[in-house]
Amino acid sequence: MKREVVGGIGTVRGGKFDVLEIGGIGKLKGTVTANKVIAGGLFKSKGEINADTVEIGGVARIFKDIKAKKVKMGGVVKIRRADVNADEIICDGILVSNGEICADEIRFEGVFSVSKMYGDNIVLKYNHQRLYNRGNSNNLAFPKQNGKYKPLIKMYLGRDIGTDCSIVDVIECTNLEAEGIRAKVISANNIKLKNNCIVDKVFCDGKLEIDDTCIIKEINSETQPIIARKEIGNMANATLVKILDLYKEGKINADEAEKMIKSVKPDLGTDGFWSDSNNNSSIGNKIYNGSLIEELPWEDDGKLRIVAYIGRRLLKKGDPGATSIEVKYDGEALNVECHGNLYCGEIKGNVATQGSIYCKKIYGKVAAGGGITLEE
Amino acid sequence: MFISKKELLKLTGISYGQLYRWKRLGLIPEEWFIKQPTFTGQETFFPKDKILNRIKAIQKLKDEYSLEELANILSPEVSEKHFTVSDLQIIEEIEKGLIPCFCKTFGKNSFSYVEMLVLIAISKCKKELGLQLKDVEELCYGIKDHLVSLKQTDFLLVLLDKNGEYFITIHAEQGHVFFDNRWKIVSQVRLNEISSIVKVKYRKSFNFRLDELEGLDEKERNNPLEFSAKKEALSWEEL
Amino acid sequence: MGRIVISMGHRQLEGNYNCVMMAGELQANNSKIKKLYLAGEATIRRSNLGLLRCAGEVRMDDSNLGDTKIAGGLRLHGTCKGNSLVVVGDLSAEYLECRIIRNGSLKSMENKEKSIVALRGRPVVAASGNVHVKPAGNVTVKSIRWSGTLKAETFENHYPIDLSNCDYEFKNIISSALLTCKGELVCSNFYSFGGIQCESINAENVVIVVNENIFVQSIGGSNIRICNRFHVDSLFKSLLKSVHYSNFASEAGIVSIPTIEGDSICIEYTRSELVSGIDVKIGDLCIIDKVEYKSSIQVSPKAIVNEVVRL
Repeated sequence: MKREVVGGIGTVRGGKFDVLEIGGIGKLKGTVTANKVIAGGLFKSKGEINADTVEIGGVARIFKDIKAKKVKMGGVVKIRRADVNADEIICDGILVSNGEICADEIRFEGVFSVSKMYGDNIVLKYNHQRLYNRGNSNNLAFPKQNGKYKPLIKMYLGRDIGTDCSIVDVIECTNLEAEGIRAKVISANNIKLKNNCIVDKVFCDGKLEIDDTCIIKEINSETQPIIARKEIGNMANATLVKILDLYKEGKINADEAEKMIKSVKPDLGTDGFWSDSNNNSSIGNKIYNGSLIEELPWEDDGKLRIVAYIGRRLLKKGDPGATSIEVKYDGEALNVECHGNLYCGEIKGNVATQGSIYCKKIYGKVAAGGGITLEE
Repeated sequence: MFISKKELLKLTGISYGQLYRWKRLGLIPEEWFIKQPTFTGQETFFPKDKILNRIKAIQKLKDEYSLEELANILSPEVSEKHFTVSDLQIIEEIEKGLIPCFCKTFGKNSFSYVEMLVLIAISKCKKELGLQLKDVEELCYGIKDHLVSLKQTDFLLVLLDKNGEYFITIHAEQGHVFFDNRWKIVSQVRLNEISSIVKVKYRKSFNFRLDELEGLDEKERNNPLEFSAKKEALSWEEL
Repeated sequence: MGRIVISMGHRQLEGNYNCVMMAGELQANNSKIKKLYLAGEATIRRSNLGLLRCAGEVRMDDSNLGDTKIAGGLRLHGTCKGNSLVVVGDLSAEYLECRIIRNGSLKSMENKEKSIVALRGRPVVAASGNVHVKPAGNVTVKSIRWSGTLKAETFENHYPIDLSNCDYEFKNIISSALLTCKGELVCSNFYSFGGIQCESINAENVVIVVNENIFVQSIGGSNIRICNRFHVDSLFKSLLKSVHYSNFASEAGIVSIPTIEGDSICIEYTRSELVSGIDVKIGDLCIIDKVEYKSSIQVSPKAIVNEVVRL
């Protein structure tokens, strides 16, 4: 059996191979049967591929069916009017397909826009990071929703593709686990959706688990009750329900619903770039008084912090009422920063306080707004 | 003791637009806006008596004067605002070390607006020309009596030097003054310019005491001419 | 009058000149220069300039700067006045008073948000639209810091700026890039097409076009408008400006501003806890916890308002 390697620019007219490796700029014309097909570089397939393993990296355009045991797709793959049938399909790049993607196990973790997906166990994760790690270190300006070019991109790729979620038209499978996708119809036995999924219709035979950020227009569930995880407070919950209602009534479209959800849940971090909520974005990130977000505005840095809340609002230094809180801490401290009054043991480091400090000994520097009393 | 913003608007019948406008013009000091967390969230409170009196005064006077005129009336040079030692310390242009000297020579601890401008001018001269403390003292002694009656800032302050001794003259800019040749003109400062800087820079730092407005009322009536002249000099809108 | 100076190297001038073109170092004392074109450095004292075009660093003491455009740094001492000032770079002023002060862009430009992105400190890319950058990347957006006391009728901002170090008195602020200041942003007419970072805004007329970098706690004023597309209105036309602004639509999402208080409020694409006014219009895609109105209220069917109270 042959091992054929096409480097540079080449065309393969089909045949039987052991390993067919196409690097560089390769074209496939004619049916290929092989154990392993590796296509990197720029690859255009106008022939059927039957193989055990198919690995597509680089930029690939597929116009004829692929049948394999294992398919691995990275890079940017565009499939037009062709189906992919396999036992296992793994994709972690950018995939656009207007045919069928069919496999027992499907694992997608990139950005994809797929027409039909059928299978047994399907796991779809949205990972926008891929977009920017794609060797494009110069790709600084990837516009989020580049309205101007959208029709062009759609025409080239053949399908609409979003940069902030993945799109699948129809999914039919046994077990589905998906996050950050938009789908028209999902039909499965067991479904688990989270992170801002927006689905028009869901048909579920078995267990349905949706979290509150997902919007489903129509749910058809036969047997089991819906388990909805409540992750947010009642007020926001009520608002989300209202957003959902507006969407159901057709008053707002999916895009608008997404924007509204995002504004109510600023900490969810599905807005790709600023997902690090502690992020010191280069434009500047100040958390002003009275931030209602649920996360804590500090890192997990091993510091003991004693903070006070009024309602869900974290009191910051200078807030009225903050200086009247007294804290008694048994034991030694390294460095102390205090905005109220503090009673503690020895302080091995520095002290900065707005209120008063009563402690045993201070080994470091002291800056105090109130008084410092050292007990014997 | 305190009244919430909402209650205040309801009680007085004024609108948010008016409240914020008056705050911008300095008719209501920023310090009076006190933010307190309550169970409904953050709410703003005001010292009750002060704010009610202030709003009453503004409402009464705004029928007679436009808001710009009101703001002019409150301009520091027209109002009887007094600058205390702590106020002087806020002003960067006044050298802190000189403040005790000023107090001693002027014989008082609070200064009028025009006096404060002159202090800034003298501080500036000292810094630029390297005057001695003694020189500053003598300058102050020399000029202090004249400043008491000064209400306008349309003056030029000239520092003269004769054989190591320093003298000050303050005269209206338009007027031509011919100095004896034996006096060397060391420095000239326009009080108007210092005034412009101070007004923008320290706008937020200094309160205005509208209670004196009541008293000013009568004064203004007695000197209508004086008021309109000031108006031309002071309206920054025209600049 | 009538003197023309063309010079390279080092030059010292005093007196009246019609036109001065220089590459190098210029020192001008007590002069009156109608037009000054300079590439290099200049120290100008007690002078009167009609027009200044400079690429380089300029220091001016107690001078009149007429119509000045500088790409570089400008340091002003004493009292300086002028007609219009355009600075692309740093500015520090003891006291500056102009009719128009503009930060950024030497040519008239549209009001899309342009960011100059610096790669490891060196300016690299000028991008239209929003530039999104992973925090871990080596790309930063530089915000310029001005300092000093500034007074102008109109302040136009076309480049990210931090005014926290400035004492300013502007009647109109038109900003199409990120504007940062501490505490309360105060002026009469405020038009923002870019980002804003401050504690609160207090202005008579406020028009804000939605943008992702708006971090403001409260807005207080008379006429408040938040919209997702900008349309030149009669008030905007009447403002003193140095550049042409065109209508545009923002692609950003919903802005979050906890408190909005005013007389006439018309907002859309806004998330807010409290909106309170006399005549209130809640437009599309708003999510408001509580609306208080005195006279009239309108809520779009595409908005969510949890509580409405009539005062």
